[in-house]
Amino acid sequence: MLRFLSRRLGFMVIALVFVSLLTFILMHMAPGNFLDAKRISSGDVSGDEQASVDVIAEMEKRYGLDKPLYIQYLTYMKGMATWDMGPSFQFPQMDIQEIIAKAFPVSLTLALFSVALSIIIAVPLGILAAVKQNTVWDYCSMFLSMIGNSIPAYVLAVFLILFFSLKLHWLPTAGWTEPKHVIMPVLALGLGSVGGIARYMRTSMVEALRQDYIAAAWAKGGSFTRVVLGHALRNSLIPLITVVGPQLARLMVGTVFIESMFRVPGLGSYFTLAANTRDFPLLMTSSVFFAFVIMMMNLVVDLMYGFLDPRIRFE
Amino acid sequence: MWVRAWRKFLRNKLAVLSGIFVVLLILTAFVGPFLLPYTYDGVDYAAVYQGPSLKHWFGTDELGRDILSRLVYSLRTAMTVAFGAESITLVAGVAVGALAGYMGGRVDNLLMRFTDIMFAFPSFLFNVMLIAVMGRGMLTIFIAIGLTSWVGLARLVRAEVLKIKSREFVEAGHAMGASHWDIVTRYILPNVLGPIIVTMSFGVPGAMMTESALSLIGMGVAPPAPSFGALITAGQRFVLSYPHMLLWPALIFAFTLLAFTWMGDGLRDAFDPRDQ
Amino acid sequence: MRKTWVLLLTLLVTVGLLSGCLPGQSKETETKDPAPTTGQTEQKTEGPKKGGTFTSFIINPTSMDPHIYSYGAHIHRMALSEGLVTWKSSKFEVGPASAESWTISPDKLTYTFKLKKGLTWSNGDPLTAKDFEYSLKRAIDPKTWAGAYASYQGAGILNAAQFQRGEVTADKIGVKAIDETTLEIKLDKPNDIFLMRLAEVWGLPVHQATVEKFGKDWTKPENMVTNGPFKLKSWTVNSEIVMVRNDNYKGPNPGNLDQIKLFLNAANILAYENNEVDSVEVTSADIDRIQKNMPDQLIATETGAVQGFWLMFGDNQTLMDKRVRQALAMSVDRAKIAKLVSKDTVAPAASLFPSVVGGDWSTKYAYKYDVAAAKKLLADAGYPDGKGLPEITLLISYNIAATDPFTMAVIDEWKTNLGVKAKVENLEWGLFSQKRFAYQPADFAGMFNFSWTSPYPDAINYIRGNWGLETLWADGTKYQGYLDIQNDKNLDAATKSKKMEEYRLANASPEGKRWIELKAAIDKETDPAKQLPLYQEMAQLRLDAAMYIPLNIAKSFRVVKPHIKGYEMNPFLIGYPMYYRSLYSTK
Repeated sequence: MLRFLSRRLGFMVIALVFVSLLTFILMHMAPGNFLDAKRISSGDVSGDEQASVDVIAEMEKRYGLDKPLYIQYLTYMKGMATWDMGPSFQFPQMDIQEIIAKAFPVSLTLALFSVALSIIIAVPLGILAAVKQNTVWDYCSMFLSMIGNSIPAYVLAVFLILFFSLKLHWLPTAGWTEPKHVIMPVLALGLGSVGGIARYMRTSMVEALRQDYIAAAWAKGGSFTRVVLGHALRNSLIPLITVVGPQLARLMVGTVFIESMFRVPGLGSYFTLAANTRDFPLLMTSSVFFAFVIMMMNLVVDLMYGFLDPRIRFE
Repeated sequence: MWVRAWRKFLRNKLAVLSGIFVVLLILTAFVGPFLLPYTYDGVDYAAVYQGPSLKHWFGTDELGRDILSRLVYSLRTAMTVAFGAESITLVAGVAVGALAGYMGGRVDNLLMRFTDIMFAFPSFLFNVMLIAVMGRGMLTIFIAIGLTSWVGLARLVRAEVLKIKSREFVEAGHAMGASHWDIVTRYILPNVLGPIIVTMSFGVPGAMMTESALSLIGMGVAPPAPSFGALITAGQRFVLSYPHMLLWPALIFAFTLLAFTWMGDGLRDAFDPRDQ
Repeated sequence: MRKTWVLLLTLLVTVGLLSGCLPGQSKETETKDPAPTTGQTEQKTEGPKKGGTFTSFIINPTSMDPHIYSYGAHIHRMALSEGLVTWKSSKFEVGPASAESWTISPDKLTYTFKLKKGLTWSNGDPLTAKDFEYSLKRAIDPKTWAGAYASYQGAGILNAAQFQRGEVTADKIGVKAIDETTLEIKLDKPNDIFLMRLAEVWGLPVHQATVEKFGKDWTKPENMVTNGPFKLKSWTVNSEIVMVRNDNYKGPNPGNLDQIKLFLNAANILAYENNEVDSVEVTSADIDRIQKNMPDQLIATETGAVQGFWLMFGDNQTLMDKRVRQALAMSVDRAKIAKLVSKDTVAPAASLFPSVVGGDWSTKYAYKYDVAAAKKLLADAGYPDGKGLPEITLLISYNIAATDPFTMAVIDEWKTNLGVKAKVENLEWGLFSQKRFAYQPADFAGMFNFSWTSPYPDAINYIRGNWGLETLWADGTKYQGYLDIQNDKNLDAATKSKKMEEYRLANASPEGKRWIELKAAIDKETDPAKQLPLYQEMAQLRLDAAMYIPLNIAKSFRVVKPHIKGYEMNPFLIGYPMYYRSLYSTK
């Protein structure tokens, strides 16, 4: 177990270095830089030549952009290793670790609630489809769950706003200051993953229902609750972790469209903004952080799977 | 195997209907532009913001461009991007997966560690960076999407190859002195085709979704060439005053994605070894 | 299988704990409630009853420092901070703010400001002339924050430019606190609009002790100390800003707002129709419906932002013939496009001067819509009916989205009127920002999209601030030499700009050379009356050279709820209010 863990963690470090290198290289290959972005956004298209030359020299010094590339890279890496990345380009008065500390809980909340929502909807649908396999019930529940899967969250969001805010006047169109603000983003994100989970649930439930012990339980005169919800469900829930885990990881690192549509101060908007504005320190941190979260989640899934399924042993 | 899968697929009415719809969509995407009376960028100031009518079935946009024509072109864009990206996925995924699975040992280890890293790489961010580096354009977009989506297929192919490698008919091939290339292409890959087709049919709507998401942040296909993402983004701005500008693109896009997903679902059932 | 239930339980507990992370559960909201009613009982300031709230959107600020360029600086100017002087209305007349009066020396070089007595910061500290001296020097200092540089640039404080270049120390800058309430500012040459410029963001004071104590963290709501009518209560980055009335503010506060809530993203008319915000901008998408359904809530202003296309240089010489450029500029019916395509959400611009700068600049230095003349110019240049003219590329970036339909219409006009073919190349902005000033290959004839506004109404700034002719080269290939100097890493800033100047003088077109001469002549002349004809000549020269083709002027449209009074739009800041203090809510 310990060997398994240390090997996985060791590999993770190598992978993160690789990810950071790739990001660094791509970042420097991309045309344009933050200073140009700044000049465009501040409306300074031509500017005084003299001032531009001075300003650019000064800013390059401030951001260490005048140093050799390998030193720049090492500076970023040192910053991440010591959790002191310094200020981002766009938010000159905020340290990146502070941005993450503030925005990550928000994204995490959104992710957990939407995954919880999709599980709550998907599991009963999956059970229904499995129990009534190849009947109208099966087709209907799979049909419904797939619809959610095929409507992009940002389209769903617009219709949610039109319905809940403009038609019913129940909810504000956006915001993140009251608990009710959570409802629409969670719906928009959660409904999308119902299809995948329900489908998976159905398959593993069908599998579970075929087992001998289930037949035995029926034969002993077990009730629906006892046999299906008692025996079969427990076993079929385990494989679900392998779909839910990555899904959670994907949502945890932020969802740019839903965040910007609903004014959710999560990680997603920072990170996409970082790529668009060539905010190098933030971009470096974000891709490494993303990769870290995804790999951690994979590790957790593997560990949980082992913990729950006695057949699996860690080499 | 093929006959049985095909029969099974035919039994699933939803999947068959979706399949027919998909074929129609592909036809529309590639033939439609020649049948339409309007081009996707034909400006007509006399007919801006019109609702659906006989002349313009789906109405017109802020420049008087025919929305139906723009949708048909969007479909073409989406198909091109999706199939382009999927071909890259196919080549990369099958090559890496088959090589790793067949060779085993050190090669396998190395390739799989590499795919693990790529799997952890945040794919959307990677797409955005790749497009920033290569510039916007149809070609760059599908290269970017292709480069980020082959990992899953590679893992799947590897697993299948591992399974098949030890079967008798492969052993027999070895015994008959077939070359490695022959073994892989003639004995192993045909048997992996089922799962590959299933993955690809789910990959197509996935690639379309990614393309539309890229359009949303201004990294998609460059206007005036239309794409679903761009039409939907534009439509959102007009949703209160001219709802048809959002409704049609959103509906057609959703149906396109649905058709591919349902077809993929049917294919998955058809190729599912557990049900046989 | 007990493990399953353990797992489920853990999940449930996690979700339960997480509900603590739900928005609105954090401490920020608990310290909330400046309760409008308590505000009324205090009733310190004169004027109408307090207690109003105003909710709207603003462009997402990336910093809340008045001396760093972002919308945060504008929020300071509009609400949180107060400079020596202020703009009295959207006409930008100068009125007293922290300074109650000032005198100007006969040579127009020394301004002496008398501060109001008893001014305080939001924490109760006295506000003195020393604070202004510190702040102005901070805003000028490129080491404090280089971004501030752009906002101060060109106001002409004595020795400021020399200080920025590192030639003199800070104590030589012409800003000095004589005593507690007297501040003296010296200029290097007379500047008629100095007072108007002083009301910009760089003229706002910051609290020295706070800035020095907290460093960059001074802009956090819990640390920030300001002197304006409002103070910062909370700032949820990428989401919203809340400001409340500053009871230590002694200046005029004609409005009655107690709280201002600004949403930072997702500006959307949906929120207005759902009564969440009191004001929002209206885009061309909704203008017809708004005009029909709620015309009384709609306000509009023309802005100072001119958009158009800017000549690019390289091997291709097609567009180096100014007759071709003039033909392009003259053959577009801007009024028709603005009306039909943009639904009058932009104003047609045949001039690089917006009408909001006043005077006759915008009508006198404008292109006439004259297809016949344009056709003749094109034929004279050797391209009758556009024959032989290569396709022209218009470079735009997605971020400048508003130009898209207008640009498409312009291309259509060129095709119908001149037979000239053009296409749009829409680039991701990073590539755009690089390609627009790059040397172009032989098969590329093009122009790139520009949009610029002066931050204040001053025709001269539309000549000096942007769109100069110094870089209009005699032929396109001359551009490479200029870029070589610009990109030379071995030159220090001073040598580089000197070399660039020499190169321009040697290689510019006749118009460019004349432009450089005129600029130099103006710099030697101190009498504004004698400068004016020279500026007029520059404007005419620029019109004739057609290096920049103006197309439209942005207009700002907003809807404002009927219970909000006193909303005056700032034409130089896309229709945000001049100051939040003048807003009044009757609700």
